[in-house]
Amino acid sequence: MIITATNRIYVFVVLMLLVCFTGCLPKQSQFSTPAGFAVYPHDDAVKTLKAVSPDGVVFRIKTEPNEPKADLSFWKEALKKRMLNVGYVFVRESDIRAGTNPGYLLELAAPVGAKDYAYLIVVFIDPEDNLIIVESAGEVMRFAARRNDIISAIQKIL
Amino acid sequence: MKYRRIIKSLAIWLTALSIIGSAWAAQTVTGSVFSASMLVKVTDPERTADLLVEKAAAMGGYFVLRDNNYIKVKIPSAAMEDFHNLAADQGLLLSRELNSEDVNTSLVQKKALLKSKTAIKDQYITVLKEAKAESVVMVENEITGLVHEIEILKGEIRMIEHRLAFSEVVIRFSFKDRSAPTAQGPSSFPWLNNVQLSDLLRVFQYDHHRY
Repeated sequence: MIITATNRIYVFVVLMLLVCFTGCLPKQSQFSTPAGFAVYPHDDAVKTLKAVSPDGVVFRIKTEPNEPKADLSFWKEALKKRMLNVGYVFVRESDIRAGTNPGYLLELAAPVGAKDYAYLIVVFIDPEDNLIIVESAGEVMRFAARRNDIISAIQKIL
Repeated sequence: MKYRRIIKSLAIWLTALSIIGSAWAAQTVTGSVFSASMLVKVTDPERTADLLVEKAAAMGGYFVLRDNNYIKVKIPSAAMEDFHNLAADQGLLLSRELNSEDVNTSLVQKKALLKSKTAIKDQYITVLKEAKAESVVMVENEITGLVHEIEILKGEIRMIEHRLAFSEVVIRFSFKDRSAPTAQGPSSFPWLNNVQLSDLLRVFQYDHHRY
């Protein structure tokens, strides 16, 4: 194949478009979702990613401004206090990492209608100083079966 | 009148005896009643309940109450921890609560009271043997009253001793209180107001309708 100057220009333009396209993707595209979950088309304006499993376990990642500006230990305490005051049952808590970013994982439970639900919340502060909030919930036993996949996905979101 | 004086002096003497007895008993009797309540999520509550009732019996315990989402068992206190762990291993432990109640003082007091009332009753019986016809009815009434009080005390002591020997474990397979968590007021931090299970599920229900 003869590579002409025109072809080089075409290749260059295509490559530039690819680079531009990749760089301009909304931030949510880098978020991973748990294995076996279907992702909803996301709305870039609201910076939210949603996914659901066939058995109804839901997964959502959203971004909120870190306001008032505070560090992770502050949000850790505020989140736990708020959720327990509201009436959720504490199940467990732990530190979690997504890449090099430290986060806080809080697991709760609550009744929803006739079923009991597990409710997992994770908060990270991303390098741009936004709060990344991950929520996942489902009927307790269904959620338990998918918990490891959910945690694995969360560890890859940043 | 002579009998009344004897009875009064007996009562004073025995009260002193019961105080000494209480102090002695406090040093020798110790005990706490333990109880546990846990919420365990399992795939098959009926089968898990069957298994736990069977294990409780094998450990020397018995079940007190049972329905579809709840069992209450009595377990020998020495085996309580093993049973508790066994129940937690049947599924996902969502919450647990352990309580202990010190019944030492109550048990000591009741035992001392029983001792003193028994001693008084014995003294009355001695008095009865020597009593004149006009005093017999009065002494018999006193003895009857004391026997009644002694039987009540014995029952209460047996009850406390049973509670010491058998711990109560309540296992629920779903939340007793079915009301959803609700915020009493907004948080000072706006994003926290949007972290709610009901809101999360509502968003997905809305999306299900769209697709």
